[in-house]
Amino acid sequence: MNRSQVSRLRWCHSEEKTVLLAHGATDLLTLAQRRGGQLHQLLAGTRIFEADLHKPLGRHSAAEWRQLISNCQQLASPELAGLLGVALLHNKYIAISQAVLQAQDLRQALRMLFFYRHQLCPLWFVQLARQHNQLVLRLLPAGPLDKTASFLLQSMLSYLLSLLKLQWGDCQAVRLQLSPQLVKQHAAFLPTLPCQFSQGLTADTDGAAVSLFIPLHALEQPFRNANAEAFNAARRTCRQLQKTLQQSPTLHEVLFRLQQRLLPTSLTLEQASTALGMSTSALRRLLAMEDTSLSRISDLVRQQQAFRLLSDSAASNRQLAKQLGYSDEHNFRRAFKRWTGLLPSDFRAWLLGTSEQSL
Amino acid sequence: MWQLHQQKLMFSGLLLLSSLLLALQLGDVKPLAAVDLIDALGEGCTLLVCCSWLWLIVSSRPAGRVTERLYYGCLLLVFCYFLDVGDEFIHYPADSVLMIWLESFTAPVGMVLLTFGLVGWHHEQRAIDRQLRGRELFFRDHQLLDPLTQLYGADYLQAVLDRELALQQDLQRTKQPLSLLVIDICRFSEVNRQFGVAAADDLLCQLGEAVASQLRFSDLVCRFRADCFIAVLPNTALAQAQQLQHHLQQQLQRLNLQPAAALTIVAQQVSARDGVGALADAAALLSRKRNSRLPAELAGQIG
Repeated sequence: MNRSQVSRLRWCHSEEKTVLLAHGATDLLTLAQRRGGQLHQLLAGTRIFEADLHKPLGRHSAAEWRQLISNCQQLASPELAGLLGVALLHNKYIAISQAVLQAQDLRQALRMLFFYRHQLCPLWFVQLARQHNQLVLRLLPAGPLDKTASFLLQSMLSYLLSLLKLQWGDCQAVRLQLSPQLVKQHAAFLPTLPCQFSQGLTADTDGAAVSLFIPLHALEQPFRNANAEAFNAARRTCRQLQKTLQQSPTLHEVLFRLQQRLLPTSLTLEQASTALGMSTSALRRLLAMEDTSLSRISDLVRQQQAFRLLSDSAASNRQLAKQLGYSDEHNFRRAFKRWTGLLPSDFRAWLLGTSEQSL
Repeated sequence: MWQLHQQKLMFSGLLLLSSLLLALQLGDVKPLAAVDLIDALGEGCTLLVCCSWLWLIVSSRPAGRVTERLYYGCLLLVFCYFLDVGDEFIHYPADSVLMIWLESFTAPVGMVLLTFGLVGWHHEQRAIDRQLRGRELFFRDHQLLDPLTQLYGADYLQAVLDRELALQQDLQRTKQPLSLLVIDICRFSEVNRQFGVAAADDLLCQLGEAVASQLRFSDLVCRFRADCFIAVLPNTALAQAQQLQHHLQQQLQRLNLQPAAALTIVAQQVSARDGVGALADAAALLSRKRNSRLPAELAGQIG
């Protein structure tokens, strides 16, 4: 048993995440107020007070952030999420946005965003993968996927894509892939994005993953507004801010990564609870509170891994089944059919088709 | 809104209180066994509903003549039902004419007053409809309003187009043409970036206001997408629509909206043959325009 399994993993409940008020709440509130929202109604139930809004280091919990977002969603203004992303990107008081705007290239910007992600979007996490000659950013919700999570997804996408549009002048090289369920949810929003998007094949209800495909050569393309000095200054501010925030990953993310490490065997309740340093019943209760279960998480991990393996290697179904921990290839094929509605071989053909299109 | 009506509310409270005192003075309280509970419950419910009407009037209407009529009409109804509930619990002597009169005459007077108020409201609404010209056609649903520009959104546009096209199909012989004007802000994301989201919101509001005020009574402007407005021009052929488009371009140029942004205005005729998916048409029109495959004279540069 190695040391990381003996020592407890750092984790937190998704509601324990803290968000800086200046990194979202104030921008969202001004946008909502311009759309006729009353401040007292928008703040109702959030335990945020008007006076706190102007404190530079004012913080609130993720639960309050979600409440605030759902209050703002009452306004029936579908553009709010996208605008929030744009407003966050151009906010002069958000150090991480300033750093990203003045980064040298996309690689540096993404590194900043990944490292300081808790300052901007604590409720989603990112998985990085390489596929052919593309970098794949897979965004996964760190808590239950509800209306607030999809609001945040929209604002994150518009943040990233307006950054790229600003720096490159055009981001048609970037491709976005969503599950059909998400495409339906964001039908009004997607056409406003300045990139190509395609409907993924994940047909099951857990297909919450959103993938962003960026060509590898684009990572090095220099940014228009690169300014090393300003970037370093902003990075220093980010580093200091980071100390004031909850940095532990959420339970969902920890279990996801744990299962990824344990493949091909499935993560058991006992293993998970020892790794997290709690009793099995406590873990079960927590999972119920987060509206998820170990089997769903391991299914999601297997699904992601299967997509990666299918696109990377030419392994046979039998080998894939073994690597993913299925007893035989029939079980693997059945699971794959459940995720995508396609057989693995058809999926491989489809992947080839789409990657040729995007080249 | 209710702060505007504080005096009225105070007066109503006093009126109800004094009527209660008067009733207690004149009559005496019935024993509980003699009270008909079902009757009391029914009349109590009527009273509560009336009170909620009063509350709705107070919380939704600005002060004014029409509001006053509606309010006092409703207040008299409340007063009448209040006495009605009261007489379930209080027994009046047979010779007390005052209470009987108060109880039976207030309701008709109140209703007459309420009717006058409603007639006034009707006239007022017609005036407001005139104010809303260019913003609303035949159908009202406040939930479809875009909260920023106060114009209707894409769903409303879809409903209006569906109806117009259905009408067109019915009146095939009369051949009423229907046209659309698509008003698009070029490179809106750059406005967002250069001047900030607040200034961009401001521009949208001003533009919506300006377009709505420049069109005719029968036209309708909707906010189709973030940076795109669509005007529906019923009973307008393409030539006429193009005239309107030139007019709009000139006027918007003269208004010189800030922050400056380039606008593209395109006129297009829609016919019933295209089917009810007219919004898809509009979207296709838009994407075609974005690909800038349109005649040069149609793309106007403003700002």
